[in-house]
Amino acid sequence: MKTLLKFGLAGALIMLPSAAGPLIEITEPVLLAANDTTTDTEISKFSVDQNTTNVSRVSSSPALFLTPPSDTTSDFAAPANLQTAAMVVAPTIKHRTLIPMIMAAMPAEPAHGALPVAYTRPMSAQTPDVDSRQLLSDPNLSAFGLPCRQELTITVAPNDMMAIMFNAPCLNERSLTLAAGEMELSVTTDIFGNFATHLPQLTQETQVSIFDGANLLVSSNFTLDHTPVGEAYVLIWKDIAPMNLFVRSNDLVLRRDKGRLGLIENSRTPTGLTHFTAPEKFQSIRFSLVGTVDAENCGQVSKARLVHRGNVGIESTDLQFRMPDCDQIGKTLELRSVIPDMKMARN
Amino acid sequence: MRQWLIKAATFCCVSLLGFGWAMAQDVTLTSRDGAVTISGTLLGYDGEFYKLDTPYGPLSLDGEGVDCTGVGCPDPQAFIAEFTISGSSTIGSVLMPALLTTFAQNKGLDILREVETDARSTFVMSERNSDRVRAKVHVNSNDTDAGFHDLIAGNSDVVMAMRPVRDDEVRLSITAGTGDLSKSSRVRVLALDGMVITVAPTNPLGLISPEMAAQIFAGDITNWAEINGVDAPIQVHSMTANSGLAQLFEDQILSLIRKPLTIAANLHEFAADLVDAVAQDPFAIGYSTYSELGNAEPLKISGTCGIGVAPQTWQIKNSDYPLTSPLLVYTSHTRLPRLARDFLGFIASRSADIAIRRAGFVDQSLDTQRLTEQGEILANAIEKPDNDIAEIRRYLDVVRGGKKLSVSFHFKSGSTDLDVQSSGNLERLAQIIEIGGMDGKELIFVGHSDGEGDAGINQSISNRRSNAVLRDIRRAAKSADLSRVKLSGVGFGEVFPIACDDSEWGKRINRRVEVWIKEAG
Repeated sequence: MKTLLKFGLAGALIMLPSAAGPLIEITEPVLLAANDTTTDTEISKFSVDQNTTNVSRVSSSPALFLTPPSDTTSDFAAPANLQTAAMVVAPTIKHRTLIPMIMAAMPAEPAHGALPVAYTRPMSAQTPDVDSRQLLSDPNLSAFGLPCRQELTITVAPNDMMAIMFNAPCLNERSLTLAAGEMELSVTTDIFGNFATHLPQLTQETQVSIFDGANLLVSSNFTLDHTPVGEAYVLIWKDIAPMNLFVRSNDLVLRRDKGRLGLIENSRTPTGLTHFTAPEKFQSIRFSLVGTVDAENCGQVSKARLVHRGNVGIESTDLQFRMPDCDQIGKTLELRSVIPDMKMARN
Repeated sequence: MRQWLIKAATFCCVSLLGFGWAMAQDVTLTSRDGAVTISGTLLGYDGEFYKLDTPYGPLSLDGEGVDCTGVGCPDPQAFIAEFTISGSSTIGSVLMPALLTTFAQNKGLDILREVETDARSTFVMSERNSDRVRAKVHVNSNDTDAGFHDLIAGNSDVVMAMRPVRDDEVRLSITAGTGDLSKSSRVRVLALDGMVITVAPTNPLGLISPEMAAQIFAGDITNWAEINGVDAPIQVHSMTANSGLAQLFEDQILSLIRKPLTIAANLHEFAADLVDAVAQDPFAIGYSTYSELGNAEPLKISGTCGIGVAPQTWQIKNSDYPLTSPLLVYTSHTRLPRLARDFLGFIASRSADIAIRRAGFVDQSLDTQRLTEQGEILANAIEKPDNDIAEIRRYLDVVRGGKKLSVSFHFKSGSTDLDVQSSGNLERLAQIIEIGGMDGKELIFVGHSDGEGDAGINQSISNRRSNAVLRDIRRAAKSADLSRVKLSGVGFGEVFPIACDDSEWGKRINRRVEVWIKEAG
């Protein structure tokens, strides 16, 4: 949540148009992180230069960012695709303060206070105290003057999840591939080249890699201090997710253990990824895929990968589905035989 | 493949009609030494053989021995093995996908499951790091009836069956030109399962006789009070009539009293739904398979003597459980593509056993049990009236220090012919002996009879049966060096029953030859 807020605040800052009208629409942090009362404190942790007026304003009051600048003159020539951002930041923020402010938007704090296990591949030294034009013409710096480094941070999250944060200032709004063991999914960086997500940790040690096309950008081994247990499924849709994973069980133990069943609808995982971990004791758990044919998915082919953690380790199965044609819009499709039931071993 | 043939045949017809025979000579096959050349119209290519329509009639030629020239020559590298597997959803929904996946992995191929409907998927196997597709396997999971129907209609190449082929299906197949499905070469045991009669975990009933089950499912017994339970109506749950499991139940249980299923039964399309419904209702009874028990409680099968046989892996593997049901595959009479044949070979191999076990079914790999695990059989023998304790001691002398193999041999009624599962057991054991897996061991074939008739005659029958299996093993293990393994046979008549002799099924499982293994002294 904190990370989301940081992203969101910075995103709001950058994306605000210069005209006053739309700014009023984004006036409350609820858009970014509802009910999070620790916002200011958390942001201030990332303020590199607390004496710099603009940065300190970030930490003290996010609403200040929503105020349109009065002065639109700038010596900051932004590239065309980043014009909006430049228009926002240029009037009042000098380049010396720009970098710390942008840094505030980066996901740098380990989730839940755990120690980060990070791999950093610096692409250039940080050189904030240079002329802004030099910044923009330097191929080793992003449009915001940030070094073109790529940083992958992985931390422990509850319920055997891992919090993955990636920062690559020069790969903004880029579609990348995140691979974690057998799991592989598409992710898109934001305008700052950041993304953050949670993935289930299926094994004690997981190789997490970020690819740009076929090129490996960064990779890191992440090791837990324990071995995750329990039979588990992870279903990852490659593009659209036309069906949801449903769980059924008459198992009394399982029905009592609603928290575990709740994992299947985990909003912290990326769209298109659902996962389920069985409790240690159960007899039989059934799975089905259920989806409604709609105008978006009708007749479409969707690909998915099913990753299973069982007694013999991790296995993955690649699946492809073709939704019924568009003359069947509104029809509900249930597939019961695609995902094998979990059963107590009898042999 | 079929589409290929149709295309080839269509092309042939078009050629003949439109351009005359000469224009139809679209391929020329030349032997490697150039001595023989033959031209014709390509009817098909299965990755190995060219099938040509020639002026001399249709010919099949091994692709490895010829060079192909002409516009009709297929690209051997582009050949995709394509075949269809159709039949029981019990096999098709979990087990067959698991087997195909394991097979592809063993072959170093990637596999993609294209889900068309819940009952139909295509498994596409392709080379790793390449787009080259090597095989497309269509799996239609409906029911056993539909599987045989598809094979006979030429719409599938392999049947997944929960029951043996029926006489009417054999006749239909012969009439349709798809061959004799009753031939042993057309069928193989894929895995083992057992039909299980189930109640809710809260139901105190622990065992049931097949006859009593038949009366309940036929509606002759409708209240639990009639079988010493509480006064509550019995809720009967059954599979829909066209499922292989329902037919198996009809064959093995309802046929005992020659009555149909009660019309009051709650019918289910999926065994999973059936067991889930039963598990929730303490007054319900149903049936399912050992592989699909859900949270329901399986009942022991018993006779009037009180001996109950539980559905457990060992009992099913050994056929000691009376409702053991082998999962069968029937194959087409035509030659399948090499990859399909490889797959059929794979499912009979030890590599498939792991996938079978993990899918919840019972594989046919050899397990062993020590003498100390034979307590129930020994207790039955001690409790059996008129048993001579000296015979029990003799048995102990024979098997002490050895282990019992999870393979036993059962006979068709009134004969020394082995049943389908036992024939498969014989082949497997013979193969193990052939590859030296039993070198330095002693295999003792211990024969038993049922308790019907004179004990002395039964002793003689059990000796004959053990010797018959011994003889068959020696015949089957043709390439084995039998000097490296010691084989012997011994009989114990009716002394060691594993079920009551008061029913035909009880007698059937008592008539057996078990195998003990020892270090050769």
